[in-house]
Amino acid sequence: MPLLYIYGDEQVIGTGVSSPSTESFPVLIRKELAGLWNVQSKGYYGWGTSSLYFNYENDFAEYESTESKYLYLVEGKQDIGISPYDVNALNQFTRRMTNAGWNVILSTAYVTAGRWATPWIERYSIINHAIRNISQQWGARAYVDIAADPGFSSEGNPNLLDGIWPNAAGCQIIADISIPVIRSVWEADGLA
Amino acid sequence: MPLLVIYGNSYVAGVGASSVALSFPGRIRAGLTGYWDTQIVGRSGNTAQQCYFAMSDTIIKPYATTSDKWLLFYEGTNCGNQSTYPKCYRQLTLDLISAGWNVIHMTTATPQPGIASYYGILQGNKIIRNDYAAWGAKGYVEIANDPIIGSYYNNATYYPDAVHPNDTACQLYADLCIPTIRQLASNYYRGLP
Repeated sequence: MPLLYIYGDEQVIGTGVSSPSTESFPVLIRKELAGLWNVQSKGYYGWGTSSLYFNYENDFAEYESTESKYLYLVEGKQDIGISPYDVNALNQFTRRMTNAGWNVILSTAYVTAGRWATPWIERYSIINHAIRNISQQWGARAYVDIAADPGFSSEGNPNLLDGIWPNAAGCQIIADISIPVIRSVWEADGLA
Repeated sequence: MPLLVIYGNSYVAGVGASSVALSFPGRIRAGLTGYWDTQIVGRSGNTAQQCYFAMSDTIIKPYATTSDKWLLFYEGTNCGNQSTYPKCYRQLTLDLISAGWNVIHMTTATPQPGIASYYGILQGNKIIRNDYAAWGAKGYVEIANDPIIGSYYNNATYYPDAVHPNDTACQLYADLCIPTIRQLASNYYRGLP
C-alpha cells in the first residue's frame, strides 16, 4: 500500500482545533483515503523546515525500503514567516527528500492576521512565488495552493485560531483542497 | 590579517547590550583590533538551523576568496527544544570546513531547569564538548559552565531581561572568548598575540 506522509509544524498536530484526533486536516485526509493508502502524519510544535531538514534519520529512514512514498509538507509558521532564507531551507529539504525516493508535495504559506501579519506577508509572497514557479526544479511533484484559497487569502479570516492556526473549518478547507492535488499526482503515477 | 566572523543569534547581534560595541562580539573585535579583521553577523531569533541555511549567502559566498578565515558560532538559545540541533551543528561545521573555514563553537548559556530547551541545551552542550574535534572544529569556548554567566535563569544581574547578556555579562563573554581564539589561532599564525 503506498504511503502518504503528512509532515510539518504544529498545524499537522492539530494546533488550532479543539479535537485534533477528529478535526485536524491530516485526520480528515486520512479518513478520505482510508483503505487505499497508508496515511501517516507527524508534526513538531515550533519547528521550521530548516529544523525538519535535520530530522531525516528520526522520521524517514524507516521508510527507505518503501517503494511508493509521498510526502506532503505543510510548514509556514516558523521559517517561512521568520527567516529570510526560508527558500534555501525548502529547496534543500525538497531536494534531499526527492533524492531519498520521496515524491514531495509542498504547500503555500497562507496569510496570517494580527501582530504576525506585517513581517510575514512579504516573506510569504517570496516563498510562495518560489513554490509556485521554481519548486519543480527542486524536485517537487506538485503544490497545494492554500494561500490562494479564498478561505485563507485575506487577513482576519474566520478559518484561523488567533490569526495563525487553522481551526476546524480551516482544516476542512485544507483537506478539501489538498486531496485533489495528492490524487492528481497519484493519477500521474498510475496509482489512483 | 586573518578574518574572524562571529555568527549566530541575538546575542551576536548585540541584543541585551547597550550598543554593538559593548556586545560580546563588539568587545572581541576591540580586543583583536590590529591583528584580526572581525565581522559580526547576528540575527535575532535565528535558530542554529536557520543560521545553517543562511550561511551560504551570508558567510560562505561573501568570503569565498578570503584565505585565512575563522568563524565563532553562538546559538542554541532558540533551538534548544529541537532535537535536531546538534546534527545541525555538525553539518554546519562540516560545510564551513569544506569551504575553507576554521570553526570555533561556544557552549550555550542555559535557561531554567524543567523546560524542554533546558534539557536540549544541556544535551547540545555535551555534544559540542564531546564531538567538536570529530566534526573538525578547532575548539570551543566554555560559556555554560561559567559560574557567573553560564545560566540566564534567575540571573538578573547579568541577564536583566532573563535571556540576553547585558554590558557586564558581555565583557565576561569576551573575556572567555578572546584567550580561546588567541590560543587556537597561535597554532596557525606565528607571532599573533
